[in-house]
Amino acid sequence: MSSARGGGVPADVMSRSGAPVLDVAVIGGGAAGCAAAIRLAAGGADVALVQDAVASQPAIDLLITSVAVQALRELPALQLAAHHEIESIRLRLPGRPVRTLADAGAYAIRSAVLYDALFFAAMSAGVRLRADNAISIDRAEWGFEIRTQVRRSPLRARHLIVASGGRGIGVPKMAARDTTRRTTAVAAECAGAAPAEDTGMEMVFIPPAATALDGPALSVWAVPGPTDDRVTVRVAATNYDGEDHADLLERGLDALQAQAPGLGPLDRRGPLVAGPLDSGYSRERVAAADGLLIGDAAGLVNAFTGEGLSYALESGTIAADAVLAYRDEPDAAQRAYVRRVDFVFAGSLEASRRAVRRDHLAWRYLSDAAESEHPFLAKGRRAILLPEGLEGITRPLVAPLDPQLQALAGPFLVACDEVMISTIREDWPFLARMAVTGVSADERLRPALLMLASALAAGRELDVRHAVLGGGLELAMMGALAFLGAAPDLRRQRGLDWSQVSIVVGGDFLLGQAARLIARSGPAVSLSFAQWLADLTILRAQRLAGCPDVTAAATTAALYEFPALLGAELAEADDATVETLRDIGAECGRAFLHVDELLALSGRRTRLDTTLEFLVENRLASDGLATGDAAQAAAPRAEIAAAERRGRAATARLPQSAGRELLEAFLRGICRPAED
Amino acid sequence: MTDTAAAGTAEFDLAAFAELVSERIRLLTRALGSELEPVVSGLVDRPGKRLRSRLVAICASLGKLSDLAGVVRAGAVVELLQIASLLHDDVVDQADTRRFAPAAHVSHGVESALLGGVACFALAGTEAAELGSTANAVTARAVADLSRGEMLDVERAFDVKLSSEDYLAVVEGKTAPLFRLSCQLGAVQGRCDQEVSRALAAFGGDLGVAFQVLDDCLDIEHAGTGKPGGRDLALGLFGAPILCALQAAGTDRELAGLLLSPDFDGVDMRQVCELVERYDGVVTARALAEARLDRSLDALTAVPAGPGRERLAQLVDGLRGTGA
Repeated sequence: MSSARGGGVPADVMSRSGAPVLDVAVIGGGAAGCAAAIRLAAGGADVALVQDAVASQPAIDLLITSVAVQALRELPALQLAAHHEIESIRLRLPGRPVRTLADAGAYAIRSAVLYDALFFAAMSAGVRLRADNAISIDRAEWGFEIRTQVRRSPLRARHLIVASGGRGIGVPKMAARDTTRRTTAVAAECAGAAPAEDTGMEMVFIPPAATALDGPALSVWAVPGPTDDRVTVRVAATNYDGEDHADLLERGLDALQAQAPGLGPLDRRGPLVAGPLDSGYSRERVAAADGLLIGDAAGLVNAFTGEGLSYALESGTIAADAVLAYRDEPDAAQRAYVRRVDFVFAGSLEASRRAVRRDHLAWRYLSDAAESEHPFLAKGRRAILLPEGLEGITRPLVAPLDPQLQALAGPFLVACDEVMISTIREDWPFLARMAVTGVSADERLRPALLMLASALAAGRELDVRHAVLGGGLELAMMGALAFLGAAPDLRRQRGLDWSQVSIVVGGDFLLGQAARLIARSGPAVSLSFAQWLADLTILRAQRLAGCPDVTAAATTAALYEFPALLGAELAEADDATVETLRDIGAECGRAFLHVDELLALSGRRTRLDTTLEFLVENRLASDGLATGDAAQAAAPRAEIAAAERRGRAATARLPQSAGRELLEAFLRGICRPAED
Repeated sequence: MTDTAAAGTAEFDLAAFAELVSERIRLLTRALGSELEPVVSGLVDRPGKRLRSRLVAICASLGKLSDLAGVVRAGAVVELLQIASLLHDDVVDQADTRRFAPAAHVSHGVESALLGGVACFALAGTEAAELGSTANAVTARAVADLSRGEMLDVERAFDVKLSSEDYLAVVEGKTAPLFRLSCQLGAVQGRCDQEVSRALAAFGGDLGVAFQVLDDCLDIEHAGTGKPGGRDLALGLFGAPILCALQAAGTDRELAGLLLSPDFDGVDMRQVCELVERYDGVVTARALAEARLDRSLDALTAVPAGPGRERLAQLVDGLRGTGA
């Protein structure tokens, strides 16, 4: 099979033997390989995909998370027909209240439908297919030579991308790696499901014992099937002793039956799809490989859920971009890939003794935190189970920003993210994921943007050197969030109460790192930070104590005043301008709270990722707002309108500038969901 | 290397100094208002040994001291940070009493206690910022290190395979930074020269590690005598003697089995102590602490001789005697 654009291989890419050297060979035609190949071909590269005649796909359904959805949307010419939209995920743990992850943005799709579509899209993008089995990879000065089973002539390419799964060719052998995790996955289609009452999906987790660092743990998904009575049950077991896959599926079914009895008694109908999962990503593994390891081949699998599709698509995309950026320099492409992939995934997936401790911590957290809708815990839960890709951090920020403003703010915010993420990800990767968990990638209301806009409005341009401060500011805001609202008391159990511990230790960690980053801008900025934090705690304590003149919105107003104040101080603005910018920040903070009230009233995912009940119980919601009465929406609506009006009046006091436009866009962005 | 004549120009009455630090902290915490001030006042009014602010004073006395108020404020920084971590630790460690009174989270509620801790952290930040850029920078570094150490400390819960080396790295994070900061701030306020400042920072770090390891030893030696060492075990936070014993026990899983028992309340503390003794846990841990104390004394050789240095050496000797 030849490429639609094939044939014209220039002479300078001929290897010594005269065989043409392609730009890229991709070994493995799964999700990762196809995604990389499609993106490369779309970028104008000459790509060959080495994939044996495709075995028929098992009759199971897959879950496509919102991250995977986003990655798939960016692939050209891909036509997908998912049979189910999954709007929410119900999280069940033994002895804990059920928690719902709203606005999951996920889909269920037939395995064959997804893989056929990816494969077809690769072919129509002009990817050459070598329908054969790779048997050896050799390095040559001009690139890589891949021998395949049937065709005698080797395939020659300058770049190599290895997407051959956890045990394929080009992948370091399991035994040769530090495999601190042992994860096995099985899946099968089952019948007998009760008709679904909504668009939710069930996930059951059986965490390891509190005292057993490497004890067995189970995660079970019930992915809706194409017909009402069918579901695909997928079980991922960590540290499971035993080889019997059928037994593992039975355990999963038992767990589902016990925790989610509403699903009905399920019977296996389809064949069992099973195998080990490799979640042993490490920088060294990817750096030492021949070519670019992507997807399962790189050990990129979520150790808690066993989910690998989103990582496969993300890493495939990163690999393709690295190759396109360094077309003539394979080593540079690999270095760029390693750097980026490590930035995006490091910590959260690596294999080491510390990773074992951290995994256990995450399991405890998942379990204990299920007792609460505290924003810090709810965001953390989401970050572990449905991690939103760090790739998303380079996307537009407050939509819709016009391209000029985007160009002004984009690089600065990306630099802030880099600072923020690299400060915390190695110690607490879930916090790093949490840092970028927004309502959606294009709607993150970044405090750093408010700081930048304020500085610009006051006549000072910020450059990437201020990104250290911007990153510190973001960590400070997230740390402050941890201390708003209480977690339940779980002291009846053995060991630490992880919901409490996560709040305290996580909040302290964020504030501590923030203090260090902020101090690099000097004592005057440190002083503003410390005074702001003291004032915030005083306000919150007054609110808690029921002081009549302290509203809920006063706290969020104080929260958002700070970035505006920092921007004003950086610009050495005059007193009147400082006041105006503070006012704008405060109005943004008020609107933020009332928008969350409105979202919570209508049962949608809030920006704090919490519920109305939690807001009300913790005095984080406005007085008079009560749970269970959706008719109250008028009050927050009026408040949002008023905050926006006051905010606009304040921006009108500023001279016309790009900074003012950014402030207006920020205010609009904060108030936007209210217009729905 | 040093000018011994310049050393010890300022002598402190440490008791009077402690009172000045308390006054300063009271002044600062009064600004927290009637909701938050009572949450922290208990710990302000019932201070511990004030070891950290004493270090500030002694180290400041080693240099060309001119501004006593600045030293007092530096003392307030480290004591406020200590109060902040106690308020938060008591929530993490589920401790119901602190210094013979109900812990703040018991008397004022968890969220208020946590807010009180954050407020003290913030007040320490305002003080440090007003002490100038060096004091601000070393304080910021220390709080970042401390918060990371706090995290490492809980992350390792129930890890019976944690080596004593890895545990010392945890202690470097959770206890050493505040001791080191105390010495650094003292040196900054006393305007000590760079070499002396560096030596004092090294001294403080080693002293802090030794302090924590010896404290762990006391928990085991005094187990069953009222000191609540058993709670850390219930939480899975094993101290130096236990980790040393676990390491020495090798394939003998008896101690590990006891520590990981799901029903820990039923476990006999005496049995744990016996096993720790069988594997020389306390002896090994004490040796680790001694090594750090020796190293801290080595660091002092770069400090000018005089009463200030004597006092630091006495602090080390005082620790050596702990529980012996």
